[in-house]
Formats: sequence, C-alpha cells, structure tokens
Amino acid sequence: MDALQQIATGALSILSFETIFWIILGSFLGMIVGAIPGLSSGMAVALLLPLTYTLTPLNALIFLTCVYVAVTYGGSLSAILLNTPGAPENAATAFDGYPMAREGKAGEALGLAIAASALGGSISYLFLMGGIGYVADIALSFGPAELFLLALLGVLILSAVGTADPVKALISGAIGLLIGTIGLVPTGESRAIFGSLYLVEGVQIVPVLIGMLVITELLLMIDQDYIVDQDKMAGNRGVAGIFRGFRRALDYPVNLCRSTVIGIVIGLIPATGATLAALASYTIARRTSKNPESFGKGNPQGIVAAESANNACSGGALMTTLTLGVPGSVATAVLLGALTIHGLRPGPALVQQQGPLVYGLISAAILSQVFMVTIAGGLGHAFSGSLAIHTRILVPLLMIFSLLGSYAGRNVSFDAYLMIGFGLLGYLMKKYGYLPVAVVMGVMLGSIADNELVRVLQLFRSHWYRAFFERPIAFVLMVVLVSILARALYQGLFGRRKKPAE
Amino acid sequence: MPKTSRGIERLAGELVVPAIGLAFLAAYWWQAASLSFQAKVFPGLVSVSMLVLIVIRCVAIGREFFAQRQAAPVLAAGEATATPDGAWRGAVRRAALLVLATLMMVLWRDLGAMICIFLFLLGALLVLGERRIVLLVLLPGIMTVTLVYLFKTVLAAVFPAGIFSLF
Repeated sequence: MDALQQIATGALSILSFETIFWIILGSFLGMIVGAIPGLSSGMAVALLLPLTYTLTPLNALIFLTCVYVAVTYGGSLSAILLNTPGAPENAATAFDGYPMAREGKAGEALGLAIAASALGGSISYLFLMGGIGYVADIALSFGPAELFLLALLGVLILSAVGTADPVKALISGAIGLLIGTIGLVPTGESRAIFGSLYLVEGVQIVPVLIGMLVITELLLMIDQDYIVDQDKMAGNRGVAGIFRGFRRALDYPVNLCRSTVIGIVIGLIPATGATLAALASYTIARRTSKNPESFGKGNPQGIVAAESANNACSGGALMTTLTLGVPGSVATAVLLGALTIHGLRPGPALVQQQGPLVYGLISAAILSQVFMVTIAGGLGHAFSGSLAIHTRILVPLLMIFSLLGSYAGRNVSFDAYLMIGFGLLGYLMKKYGYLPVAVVMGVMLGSIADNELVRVLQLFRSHWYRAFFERPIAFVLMVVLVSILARALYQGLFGRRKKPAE
Repeated sequence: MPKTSRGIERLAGELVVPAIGLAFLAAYWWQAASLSFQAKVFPGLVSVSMLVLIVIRCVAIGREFFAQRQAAPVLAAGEATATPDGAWRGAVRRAALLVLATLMMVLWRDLGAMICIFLFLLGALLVLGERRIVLLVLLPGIMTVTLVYLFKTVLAAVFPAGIFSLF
C-alpha cells in the first residue's frame, strides 16, 4: 500500500498549472532541438539545464526529462523528412522513413514514428513505475564495493561498446575519472584544486556538460553553412496522412512489444543509450521479418522498431539512473547532474525517501507522451524549418546561451572559463577520434567511484579485498568489468572493432 | 628540405590528446602527491591505467608512422602540403570564437553584461561571415535584451552592470 500511496501522491503532485506548463514547454523545446541534426538528447538537456536553477526539484526534473524524451520525437521528424537524423538515436528511423517520404508518404511515416514512440515510451514508463520500487529494494543491498564497480562499469561500457577505437575511448574515460576526483576528498583533504577555491567542491558538472556536449558540436558546425543540405529542404513537406500512420502502427503489435522490451533492457544497462537500442531493435526486426529485403526501402516496421525502442530506452535508463546513481545514457548523466544541483542524491535512498518526487517524475513522463503526440502530430513538419537557419546565426546564439548558462549556476566567471576550456578539449578529442562523452561520464562517475572506494578502505581497512571477493554481486561485477576491459584492450592492441552495422 | 606527408602530419596531430593527458597527469600529481594514502588510491589507479593506455596508443601511432614512411615516400620540396583554404578558415574562426568568448568573460565585470553580450554576438556574427547590416544590429540587440531578461528574471542570475553603474 505504501508504494501505491506514493504513486498516487506523485501522480497528483503534477496536476498543477505550473507543472503542466513545464511539461509542455519541455516537450516543445525538446522537439525543436531534436529536429536539429547534430544536437543530441544529452546536448539538449545540457543546454537547457541552466533554465532549471530556480525551479523546484520536481519541476526541474520534469522539465529536463520531457526535453530528454521529446528530442527523440523531434529527431524522427528530420530523419524522415530530410534523411538526416536529428539525434543519433534516430539514425535507424531514417533507413525506412526517408524512402517512405520520397514515395509521398511522409505523413504516414511521421504518424508511425510518433505513435511508436508514444506507445514504446508509455509502456516503458509504466514498467518504470511498477518496477522501480523493487529495484531500489535490491539496490539497497549494494554496498560501497558494488557501487564503486558499477560506477567504473558505466564508464567502461561506454568505451567498449560501439566504438571504433576502444583505447582512445578508455583514455577519454580515464581523463574524465581523474577530473572527477578533483576537490574535497571524504578524508577531508583538498585534492588537485590548483589553489582555486572554486574547485573545492569539485569541477562543476554544468560547464563540463555544456562544454563537452554543446560547444564541441558548435565548433564542428562552423565548417558547414547549413546543417542540412539545402537541396533536401525542397519538397517532402507534405504531411497528410499522419493519422493514418498512427493507426497503422497498431498493425504491428509483436514488433512494437518486442522493440519496447529491447529498448527497456538496453536502457537498463549503464552507458549504452538509445542509439544502440534503436539499431539493435531494427536489426532484429529485419532478421525476423518475412520480407527482410524490404527493409531500407520504406518498410513501416523499420520505423516502428526503431522509434519504439529508442523511446522505451529512456524508461530503462531512468531506472538505472534513479536507483543506482549510474547514468544509463549521456542524457541521464545530465539528469544526474540536475539531481545533484537540486540537492538530491540519486540511489535507492532517493526512491525510499523522495518517493512522491520520483513517482511524480514518472507520471509526468507518461503524461508528456500525450502532449508530444499532439505537438508532433500538429506541428511536426513545421520544425523542419528550423533546419534552414544558417550556422553563422545558430552558432553565436547557442554559444552565448551556453556561456550564460554556465555562468548563471554560481554567478562566477570561472565556470564560463571552464566551459570554454572543456569545449576546446572536446573539439580536439572529437577531431582525433576520442570520445568527449566518455569524459562527461567519467567526471560524473569519478567522484562516486572515489567516494565508494574510500568507504571500502575505511570499512574493510587492510582486508579491503574481501569487499570484492566475498560479496557475490561485487565479484560478478568485477568479473564483468575485467572481461570488458580485457576485450577492449585486446581489440585496441591487435585489431580495430568493426563499427556497429547500420 | 623535404616536407612531411599529410598522413604523418595527421599522426603528429594524434599526439595532441595524449600530450594533454600527460600534462594534466603531471599537474594533478604535482598538486596531489602529498595527500594521504586513501586520497591517492583511486586517482593512482586511474593514473596508472591512463599511462598504460597512452603508452599503448603511442606505440600504435609509432607503428603507423613507420608503416606510412615505408609505404608513402616523403614529398619532394616544392610539392604543396598546404591544408585546403577552407580548413584554415575554419580553424581561424574557431580560434576567434573562443578568444571572443574568453574576452567577453575577462571584460564581463568592467563593461557589464549587456555590452559584453552585444559585442560577443556582433563579433561572432562577423567572424562567421555575416555581413548584413540589419542583422548585425538587430540580432545582437534583440538577443541581448531577451537573454538578460530571461536570465535575470527567470533564473535570478546576477549580471554585472559594468559601465552602466557609473550613470
């Protein structure tokens, strides 16, 4: 009954004009940003994070979560209309969405994508609502050794999965982990603060996020006049048939359910993300189809598989983020930062102590699906107009917003300088094949891993090894971690990984 | 004097991030060397891992370097290895934007938020090639007012008045 009471309290807490306003605004802005290619969900959430400084924790998290979810909606619009995914997780949507648009079925393709996203997302959040309490109970049994290994696993999986050069990705993660240890240590000492009082609390996560995720992309965008080839902008604007697409999505219930489950499961695994979910689901849908050769040529099932999985992934990722404090994706890493900024510590205790807030967040995410369907269905095609903005207008606007957003957190220029520095670092890393996202993950998880290891040493002292070898979950995590690390190093030393198949 | 091939220049560029990593490591331990054992364990583990990975990466770069030198002869003197103009222009623009952003924060308290935001936007538009006078005046102006209003009223940010405080 206690869980039900918390769910009811949480659901009722969002029924205010102010909260509904932030749900709608988050959905709207997320969709606009999502429709702009090159701006990922992580980037969108990082860019809009400063807007939440003065909000209540509930409204702040609801706003950012709606942005996070809406980006995949928006990304599907440009994927279908322009063959350019708005976000990486929409890449698989373009495989069949754009051919459908070229056949004059843009509206139907949009309707399929929107309906599949809504259904996948709703099921995923219902699963989250029903399951988060149980997962939190299990996570309560995790000790510092388990949390330490989970934090490392979050960085390691990102480096080992879907990267062309695992060694570069691991170096990126290691840099991030080391940066994450700057500041006050649990022992009371100040570590590597370089004489700056602004670093006593550690490197602020907002400048890192904005620098690595936003500024890096802006610096890369300078080489293009427009984000999308202007030739593709002509035509493809006809969107009649959206509602036909809505109905047609229900013709594929097996695909829909299977892809949703794939999305949820992949979302649960730290640091994997919606891109992997969408690609995996698409691949499985093609392999199990009676007409696999029709995929890539306008098969509606391809859109359904990709979109339901990439949206369902958000529920799984949020489960991992809220209960374990380990980000399930880059965007949820930003959400972790938001939690920290608002004085909340993610983990099983959050679910136990802030149940109404957690269930309010999940309720808002479910409600937001309704608004997103409405906004996307009614205005979706209009968002593609945002792609006609020249980069010489877009870049300065986003850059000044980023600068002010970094400054506004503590009203100190130091944070803006930090953002500029991380932006430059991120650009250099991306230029030479490293992974700025791994740095972000490392910074987020470095302090967690460090604190938990110190706790292990304080609790077990000279018998610290018992924490890893005598606790079954910790032992399993350690084996997984070592296996992933060994595999990544082997591939880095003796052969490059193949890129994930499209 | 023979110039190096483009591939070897690229490999030299590959050393940038490892060099940054090593420099950061050195700076970090110059600060953190006197800490207690517990405070040094995790950063120590990460640092050792990073060193090993950087060594592996440098070995790979070295292998590629020698393979390229054997496969592709060094260009003769006079043959252009110049990077295309577009790439130089992009690099200059990126550098200019970052310098503008830094200057903006350096002058932030003295000139004030409104002037700095306006000048940054104006400068950034010019750097990126915008030449339409109407846009150069209107866009920075409108965005300055909008952003200052948004951040001060909605986000309660503290923006310095700068030279406006003199009036």
